[in-house]
Amino acid sequence: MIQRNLRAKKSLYLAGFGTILIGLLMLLFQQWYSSRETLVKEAQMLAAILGANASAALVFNDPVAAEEVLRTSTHSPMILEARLQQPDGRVLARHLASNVTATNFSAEPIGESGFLFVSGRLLVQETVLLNDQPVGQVLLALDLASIKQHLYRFLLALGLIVCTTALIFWLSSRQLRRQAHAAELALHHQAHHDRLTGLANRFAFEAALEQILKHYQRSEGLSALLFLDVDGFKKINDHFGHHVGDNVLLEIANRLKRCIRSSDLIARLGGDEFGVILTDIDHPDSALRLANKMIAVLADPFFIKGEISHLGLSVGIALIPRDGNTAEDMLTHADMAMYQAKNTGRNQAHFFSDAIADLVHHRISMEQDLRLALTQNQFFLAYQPQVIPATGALHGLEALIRWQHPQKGLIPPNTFIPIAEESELILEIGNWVMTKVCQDIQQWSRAGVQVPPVSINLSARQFACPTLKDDLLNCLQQYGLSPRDVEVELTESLAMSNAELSSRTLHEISKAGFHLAIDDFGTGYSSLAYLKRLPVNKLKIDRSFVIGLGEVPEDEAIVVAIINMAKALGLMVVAEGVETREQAEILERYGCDLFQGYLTGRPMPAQQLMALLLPQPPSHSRSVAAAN
Amino acid sequence: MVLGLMLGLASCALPAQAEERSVGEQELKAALIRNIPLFVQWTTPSPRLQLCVFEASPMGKALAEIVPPSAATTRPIQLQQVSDNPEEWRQCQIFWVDGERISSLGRLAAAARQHSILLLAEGIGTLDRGAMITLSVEGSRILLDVEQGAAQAAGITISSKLLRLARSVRGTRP
Repeated sequence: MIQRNLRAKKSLYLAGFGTILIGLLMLLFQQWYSSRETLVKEAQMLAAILGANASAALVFNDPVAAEEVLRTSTHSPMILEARLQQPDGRVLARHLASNVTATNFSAEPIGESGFLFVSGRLLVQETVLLNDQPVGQVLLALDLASIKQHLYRFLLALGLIVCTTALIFWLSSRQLRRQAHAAELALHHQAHHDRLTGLANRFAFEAALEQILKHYQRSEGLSALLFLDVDGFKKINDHFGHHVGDNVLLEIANRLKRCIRSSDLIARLGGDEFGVILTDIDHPDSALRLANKMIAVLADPFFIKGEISHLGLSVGIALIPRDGNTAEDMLTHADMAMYQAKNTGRNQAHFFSDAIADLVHHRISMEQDLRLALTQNQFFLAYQPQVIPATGALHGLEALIRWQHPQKGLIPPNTFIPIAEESELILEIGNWVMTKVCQDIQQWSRAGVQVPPVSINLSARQFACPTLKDDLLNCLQQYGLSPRDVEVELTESLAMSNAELSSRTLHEISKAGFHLAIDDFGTGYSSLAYLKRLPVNKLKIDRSFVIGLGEVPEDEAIVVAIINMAKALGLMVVAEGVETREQAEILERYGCDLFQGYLTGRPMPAQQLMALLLPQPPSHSRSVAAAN
Repeated sequence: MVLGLMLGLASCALPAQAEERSVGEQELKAALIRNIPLFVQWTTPSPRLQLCVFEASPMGKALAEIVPPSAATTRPIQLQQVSDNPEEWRQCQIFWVDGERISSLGRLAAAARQHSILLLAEGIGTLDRGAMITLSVEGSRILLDVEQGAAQAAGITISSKLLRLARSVRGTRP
């Protein structure tokens, strides 16, 4: 771009000089022409004066007087020759400057104009009139050297003026040129740099990436592209506002910048995403070392408005030129690797690999399939009973989502729910579940089945949704149900992740009349003091502890502790994943309130459940376990 | 200032046939006389110029041959022979006085002043007696002497171009 500007400037200067040159030539020509005209006029005037003075000498044919008249013309160095002639052409008097050859006037065709330019001379012929009658002629030959000299002087003066003007212009416009140059540089900088951090921007980064890829088309070597995404930045932006967020970004940029060599390039690709090109490395491990160094510098706490905040960094690494042929491919692949790093626990770096690409592609196609599943009604619900151990009586149901994929068959929730949770899809799926549960309860009621409360699992995104309570109530109202007909389940880790927010939301839901259950209890990091304050009705012991009952003494100890704690807090306890009689006996012995598992009832579709729950003849037990 | 006489003079002043024969002193003087009015101005110009000579003037014949006209003459010149009677002189604008009639100069000068007549004469001392321009022969040349005072007194202006050709000019206005 700078090169192009230089070329443009050069041609501008050339055009300027050309114009001035043409102007000078025209001026010179004009000067030459007007000088000639002036000379002709002066010569004719001189001839007229000479003629007038010499008229008597001509009339009285007096050569001595005529010569005397002509002698006056010798004062002008321009006059090479002067003659006085009788009308018949006889020369009465002649003056010839020294060292000058005489002009053969009679041979020159001096026309009516009375003058003629010939071989460096101006010839003038003037008829002498006396009382309007011709009495003779004056003939003059003038030297044009004087005009030429005049022109040279004129040219010299013009040259001086032009040079002086150009110099003054050049000097006075220096400041302007400097400003223009600075503006050009500033524009160039703006186009290639991020305004906030001063790092290169995405545009410049992609251009550099293209350059490097081009370089590797010709030569061997290894470089790396690092795709960096800051974990937890959105939280800071939301909490402190964009202004503070910008300052934090600046701090992040500075920390990252300190990690790289001067030959490497770091750019802000947008938002909280950064890119690094690590050139000419010996081994992929160099890239990994840098990634870990960057993760480490970002792990140091940030002090924001007097508070200490922690941020994380997920890094995806793509190797140049191995992992792509175009800048777009390279960025996509590094992005995929970063995505994988984020998904597998954050604060780590991942190399791009075909497996990662497959995973990402799988995830993407799964997402597309999920959207399709929602519109094409591929989901269905299975209900798993919760029964009272002593009587086997049905106490509650847990609604579990199932996905019947048209090609892949039944897909388990632990495969697709994590993917749905990464996008807004989980909200739609959650809504679908809620609506479907309400529909089913309504249908069962209409069929005359007495339905126990149905548990619904809430995802983190649903739980964070400010309209959660209203959505639940609206849905129930639509089907003529009350909050007592359902129970809301959320995992222990979700309930404990943001204590303040969880507490507020749970209290709201509880006040609205819903029962609450903590799922997967024992796997999270519950604060008992905190648990005590939550409006929870039920704890569900995670299946991992139940499986170990009778075999792993520690599991039994944990289960006993949970049951005792729940009793002490006045909460009901549900054991999940009860599959054997032995497990059931141990749990019953310690006073577990409810069982949920294959032993007491597999998850079953709504229709099947309804058939089971329809009023039976008195001779049959109502135990759901019999259904299995 | 000297007026050199050359044979070539006839070519501009005399008719073509005069060129062929030898030119005499009278003819040369006649040509001069004929051209002098070209460089003279009268205060009261008349449409034509009357050149007067006394009856039986030796110049009569030469003048008759070359008057009229010259190339530069715009006003016709008439040659008139007059007697001694001053009444006849009033019609003259130019008067040629031959050497033998110098005695008349006194009366002629009075008439010239009164009637604005240019008095041309020959012979030594004529300027002192009222002539305005005299022609005299020196070797092969004819010389002019001018008395400006007399001319001015008669209301006659002689052009500086003519004065330049004269041997002597007297009575120049201060």
